[in-house]
Amino acid sequence: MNVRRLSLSLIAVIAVATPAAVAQSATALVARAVSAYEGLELDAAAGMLRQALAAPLADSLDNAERARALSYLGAIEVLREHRDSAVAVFRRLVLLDPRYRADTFVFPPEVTRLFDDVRVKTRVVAIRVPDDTVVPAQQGWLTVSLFPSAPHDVTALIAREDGRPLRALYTGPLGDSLRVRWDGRDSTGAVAPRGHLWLRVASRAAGGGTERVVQLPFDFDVAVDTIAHPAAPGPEQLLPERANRRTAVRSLASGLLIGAAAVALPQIVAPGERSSGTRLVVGGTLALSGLVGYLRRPPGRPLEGNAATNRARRQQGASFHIRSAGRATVIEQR
Amino acid sequence: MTRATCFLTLLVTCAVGAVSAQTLGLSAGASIVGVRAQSASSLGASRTGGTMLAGFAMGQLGRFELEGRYLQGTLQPQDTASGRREFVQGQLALGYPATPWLTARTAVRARAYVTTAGTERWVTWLLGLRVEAPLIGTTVRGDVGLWRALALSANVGSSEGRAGRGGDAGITLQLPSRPLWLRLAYAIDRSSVAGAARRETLEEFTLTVGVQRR
Repeated sequence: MNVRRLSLSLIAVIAVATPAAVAQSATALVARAVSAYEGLELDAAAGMLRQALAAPLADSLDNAERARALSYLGAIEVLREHRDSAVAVFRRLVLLDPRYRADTFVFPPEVTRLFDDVRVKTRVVAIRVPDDTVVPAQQGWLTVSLFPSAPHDVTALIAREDGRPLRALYTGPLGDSLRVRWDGRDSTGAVAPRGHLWLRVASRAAGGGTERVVQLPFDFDVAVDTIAHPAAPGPEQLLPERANRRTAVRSLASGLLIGAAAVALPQIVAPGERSSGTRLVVGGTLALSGLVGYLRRPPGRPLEGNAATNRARRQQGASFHIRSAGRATVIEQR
Repeated sequence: MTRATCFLTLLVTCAVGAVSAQTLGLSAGASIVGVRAQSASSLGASRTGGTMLAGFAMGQLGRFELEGRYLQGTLQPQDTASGRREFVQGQLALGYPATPWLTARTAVRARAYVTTAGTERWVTWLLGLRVEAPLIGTTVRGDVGLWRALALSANVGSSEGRAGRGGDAGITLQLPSRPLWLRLAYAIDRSSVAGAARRETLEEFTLTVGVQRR
């Protein structure tokens, strides 16, 4: 009985200790490799780093440790004059962390030069978003930060689960960094469908076309306040969302009538007096504004302001729950 | 005069009672005003004019609008028969929008013309209607108003046959997503005593820049 209990305890201790030991050994291996690099034992250092970056040890390294290991491995390959290997390692490093910059105090110029060369040629974007956030449905925004490996043109969009675009967020050059915002709606202004969505950032190649896409999965949900709200607004409480003929004609008629009234005011109020020409300025401006109002509102034209007001009235109290659903993945396009 | 005072008191009382639980909206602005005055009396006619500065403030208490305006400057002679006059005007108005496009207004307005011979004071109680309509979306709105004097008192002429009426028209641009607004307006009014033997006609051309907070 005592032997069985002892065996179970031993197994439990081993089960708990093994992952910690693996993590410690991977980190320790990288540290030993760095010491070996500093002692110019390049072959030994390269061997240790490749071992730390391969399964199963690599899984226990976090991104910062992995980036450190890759930077030293790349530097070793440069010093061993294995340029192609160095380029491959640095490329892996840029894809892992587009914001990584080689430390000029640690690495010699030929290493940092090659790394920068690879970084500029490897166009990729790092995406930073909150892991879990709730934004108000009215005038609330999810802020997405984009960091490029090097300045280049990008297209950022929200895509449906099946990959179809839902809402374009930004298209244009990306320099040092950029913050784009998403209001939880599709391109028509309607609330995005609940469920799994993608945030996709495509990097454009120098000669055109998409070179690489980074996509981040997230879950989107519409949450409603637990506080009771008044009933949904009826049609009589909502503004017209498209201009009709009446709206346009009313603008024109109002402008002309009020303009005419301004011009006629002296005759109505003080007949017989010599009036100044300033009333013509006001009357003319009124009539002209009515005409502009008529031309700006042809029948059928969407009235964005009214639509936004209606949306706000319909969704009073609602909020969007946006939650990260995994790591970003990089998809090579060519 | 008594009737007008009672009417205004009643309106103010109604307004104060109705707005106790309402939100307060504030608006204030400064204006450049071109004023042109024509005076006629048994002695003859004179024309004066000048450019002045005015201040404006309005508080919206629920459905009621309380508005104050002050204007001061110098009226320079525009013909040989006229003399220079200092001009001061203050007005307090209460408006009630009966519908989104129609507002009933009542106001009390005091004017003073200061000359070397003395000061003329005109106090007028007004009642009027203003019609307002959107012209370009909700950004540009036009309005026109007419009013009549309920009562008028002046320290000139006879106490008989006093009358007054006026009107104004304007266009207001409310800058989208900003608290700024601009207004261009024309106003004219005529006040007379003793069966129009003495009358003052005043025209104002106003450009106002204002801010509002809701």
